[in-house]
Amino acid sequence: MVIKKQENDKISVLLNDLNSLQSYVNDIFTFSPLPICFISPIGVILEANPVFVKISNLSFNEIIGKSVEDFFDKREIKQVFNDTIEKGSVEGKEVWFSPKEKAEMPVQVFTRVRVDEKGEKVGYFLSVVDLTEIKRTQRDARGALMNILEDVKEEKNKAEEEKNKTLAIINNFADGILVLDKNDKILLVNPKAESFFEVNAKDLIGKTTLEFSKESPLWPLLEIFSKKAKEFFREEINIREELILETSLVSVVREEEKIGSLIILHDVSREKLIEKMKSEFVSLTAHQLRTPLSAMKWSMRMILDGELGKINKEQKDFLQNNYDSNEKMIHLINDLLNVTRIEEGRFLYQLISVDIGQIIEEAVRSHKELAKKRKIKLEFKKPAQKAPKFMMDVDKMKMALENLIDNAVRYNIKGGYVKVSLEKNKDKVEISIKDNGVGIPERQYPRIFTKFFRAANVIKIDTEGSGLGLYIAKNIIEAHKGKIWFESDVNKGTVFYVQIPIKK
Amino acid sequence: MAKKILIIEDDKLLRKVIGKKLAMENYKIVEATDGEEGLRLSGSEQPDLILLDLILPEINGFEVLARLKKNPNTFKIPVIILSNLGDEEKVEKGLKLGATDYLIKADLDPGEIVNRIELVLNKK
Repeated sequence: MVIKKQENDKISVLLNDLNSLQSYVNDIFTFSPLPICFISPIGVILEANPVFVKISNLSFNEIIGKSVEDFFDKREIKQVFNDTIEKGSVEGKEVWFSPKEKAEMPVQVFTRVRVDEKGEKVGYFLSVVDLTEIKRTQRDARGALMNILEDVKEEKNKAEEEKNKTLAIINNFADGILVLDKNDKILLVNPKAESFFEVNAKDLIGKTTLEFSKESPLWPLLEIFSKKAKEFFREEINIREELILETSLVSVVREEEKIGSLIILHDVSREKLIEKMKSEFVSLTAHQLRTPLSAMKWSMRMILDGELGKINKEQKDFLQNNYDSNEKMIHLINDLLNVTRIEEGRFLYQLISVDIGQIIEEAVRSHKELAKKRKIKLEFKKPAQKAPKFMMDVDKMKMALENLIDNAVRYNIKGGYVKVSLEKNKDKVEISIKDNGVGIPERQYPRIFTKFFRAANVIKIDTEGSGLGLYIAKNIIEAHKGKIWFESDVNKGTVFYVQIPIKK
Repeated sequence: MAKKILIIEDDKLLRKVIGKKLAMENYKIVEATDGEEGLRLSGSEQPDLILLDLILPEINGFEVLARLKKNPNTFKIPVIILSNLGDEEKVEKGLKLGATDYLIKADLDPGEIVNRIELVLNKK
């Protein structure tokens, strides 16, 4: 009896152990985040954990008893089982898994044979790992990579196309072009540049600018290049007697770093020839016009002075009018000659160091008589402190100031005034010419310094001005690196300001 | 004794007016209408001063001036250029070639020209 009780107790303990082991296994089976099922040797699902139920999109009862082949590609899963039988397990083979009413998904399948205590195969464990996300990520990454590669290819083609286009433009450009790298090595010479210098591009490419001798056809260009070092604009070079080029150099900059230079050669031979012809024409015409005007001036002066016999007052008045008109004509021709010289860019001649105050004084003095005749008070307010002497073309500076004073006197009212003042302001002198004359209509401000322009209210007073005075004055002041501007009020007066830097 | 002035000028009216003015100022006048004649008369007449135009038929005034200054027979005679070519380059060229003064016709009255002539003759 006792022995039986002892055995019963033992069995009871063992049963308890078995129950808790079963519960433990069940818990793990349920807990596993991986879909797991147990399959009979003939391929029928006998057990499935909740994750497997979920992934297959069926209920637990529907799964149990179903053939595992229903969930996989038949051929693939057969292979998996063959491998399992042969090797005891399969690890991570990729196959397609088909849940109910859902799209196929790529999975990795893991299997292991289960045997009983006698070593008989009683079935297989099967687990799957969903690869959908991994595959998608891989696919996306590959897609992105492909897109990038495609973009790069497209960009490369575009760049190639642009390069070809640019090259075609450069090769067919009407101007000569030379491209240098940042070390002044010649990278490109277009056909026009070849013909200008009568050279072959391949003899130049790869050489630096320092490698050329004085005998090189490129020498006149390189001379400017070495003198100017950085950039230059419209520098003229004489290549041959009949070929004058205007050359400009611009730096090629990428992201604030100089990567090379571009030299542009523009043929200006024709313009130069026309310019020369024009200048010769004007000069000759002016001379031809001045000869008879001089003869008239001299004769009339002698008659007016009574040197060729006595003349009566009426005769004298008539002749004086003629003399004055003749003088205006001479003045106009002088202005035209000056404008021609301004436009040829050879206006300033000799720069000497002088006291600008003295020049103003002379310009004022030469207008005293006209001012007196017109009953205008003309005065020069000298500076408290003498302005320093500086370099200028005296004749031209006087001409500019005379033109300004002349306008102020001429277009004034009877009894009006003209006040000229000079002041030194740091490294500049400032001159002002103030009048209380007719003023300048506001809508005509922009044109006041243009060639041949005369304001409407001024034409009413005097029909004979040339409209060149302010144009000439502006050019003279600017040739001295100065500035000229004005303030005006119609019928109240005008102030012209001139500012010139003191250059010793 | 009256000073002698040679006027080398191709324009008839100019020559006549300035000649008249100078005669009235008691100068003896010799006139030449082109460069060749001017050079010849400079040698033969030995004037006290030459008034020289620049644009002349055949040889121009600069050429005449250069030849006058090269000739030992004429190089001492003061030459005043009287022209309507007013470019500074021309003025400089004239003075470099040895002209004593350079006057622009249209800018001066006959009286002013006489003054400049007197200035040169008095310095001599």
